[in-house]
Amino acid sequence: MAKPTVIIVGADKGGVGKTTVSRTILDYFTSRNVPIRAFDTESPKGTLKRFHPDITEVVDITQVPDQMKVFDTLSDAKVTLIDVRAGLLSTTLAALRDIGFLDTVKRGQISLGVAHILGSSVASLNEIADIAPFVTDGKYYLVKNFINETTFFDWDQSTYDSYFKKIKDAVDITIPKLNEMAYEQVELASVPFVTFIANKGPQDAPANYSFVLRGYVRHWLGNVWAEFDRVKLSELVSPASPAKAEKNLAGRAAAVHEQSRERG
Amino acid sequence: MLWDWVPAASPGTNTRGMMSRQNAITIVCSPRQRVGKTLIARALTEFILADSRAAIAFDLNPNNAALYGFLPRNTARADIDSTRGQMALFDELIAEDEVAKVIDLGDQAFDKFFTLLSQIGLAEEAQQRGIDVVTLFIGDPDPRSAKSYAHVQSALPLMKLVPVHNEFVANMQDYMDDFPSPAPGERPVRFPVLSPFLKSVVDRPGFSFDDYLDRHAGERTELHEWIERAFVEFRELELRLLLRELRSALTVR
Repeated sequence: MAKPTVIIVGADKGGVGKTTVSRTILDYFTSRNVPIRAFDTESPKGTLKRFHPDITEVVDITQVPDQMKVFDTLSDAKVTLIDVRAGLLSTTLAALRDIGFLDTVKRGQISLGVAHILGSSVASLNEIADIAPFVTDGKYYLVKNFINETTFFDWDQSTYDSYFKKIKDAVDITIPKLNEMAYEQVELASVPFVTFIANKGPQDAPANYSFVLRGYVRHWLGNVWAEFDRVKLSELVSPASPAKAEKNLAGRAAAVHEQSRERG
Repeated sequence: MLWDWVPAASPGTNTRGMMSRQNAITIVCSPRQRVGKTLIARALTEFILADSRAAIAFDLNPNNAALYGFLPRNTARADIDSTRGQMALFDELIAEDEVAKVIDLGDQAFDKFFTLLSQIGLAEEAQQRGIDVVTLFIGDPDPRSAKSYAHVQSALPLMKLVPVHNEFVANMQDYMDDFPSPAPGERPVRFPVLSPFLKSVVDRPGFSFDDYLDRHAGERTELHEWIERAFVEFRELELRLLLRELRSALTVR
């Protein structure tokens, strides 16, 4: 059996484009025929589910039953993407440590990637120091999102570099700007980027989007995927590991669940 | 890479495997001023109309819409500075409507137009829809033009690039070697020079080449010969493009 891969997309601030980045990652793996599923933690109503309803489930990642739903079923898909609600990235990673998930990553039974979407403030850079210790055995991606160019980064490149250099093995990803009208049309269409490019609506129904806007999205998505290729995102999905990670995790999660019931 | 993955857009994929001349997009261009772009675009539009085919021209000269002035009923003014303007132009260009499109691309819009074309993948989309995209590139002795020609050729390989020698510009042997045809052995389109007097005639407001031929049928004037030479060049161009396609189809098989 192939080793499961978990990609966590999050930030400690809202409105930085977590869901947009998650959507590009889902499209990236889907286009490579890599089975992928997603969990949207914007419970009870998830934005990611609106775009990828067939492969996305909305969960409350702070609740143990939902944690079990996510982490006890990792072998159901080669890649599991978790779009973490704003402000919960550190909390989620701490919970993953507590249930032994990070130990499983350390043992090489699961591949972990954390895409940390940076906010515009210097405080956002300080979050790097909070997140990095959880990702010592996974891949840590620092994502600068320029998709709508409304983000004005308070920090300059040298300040960023000084933070970046402190983190061993971190790689940065730049999401380029997308034409505003094109972005808005995909939002209105509520379909994956690749579906929009292919001029299709929900359930693959024929659509009639502007060719120009589809062209803008295609060009932009090509550049985003080029960034993913550059950082070798697809290499996260690696061959099978001898251990049965999900079995261990199920046991640990059940134990944590039991503890929480006892506390309750 | 993305093109390899994304399936063809649903409407109107050409299943015949041959491009259609009927709704071809022809871009008349040069990065330089005063090489005859508007005159050639105008003559080409009238040539298509005279052949009882539907045609619409797009005037992409922001500061001087001369083509629109000559053919107001068959010309739309275009603007690619805004996204809405781009949508109005490019969405119309790839419409499957059996209407030939001719673009008079002003030198000021040259770089932006081809950058956009490359970004939004017009040639790829047109190919999926069976629409031919032809670029008539008017050569001139300025080395920057030859550089632009080479760049367009490498950046947009799906487009049919055709060098044009406008006899008004300079002697062909002085510069046309810098504008080699992508199809080996194919000669450039040769656009005949207009004498200053005839230029003043055809530049009169409302002048139409086709009307002139109709009104002066049976006469033989210098302008007759000029129009006929120009129209013969366009007809031969269509045949050469057809031959290119046939050769390409035979090579693939």
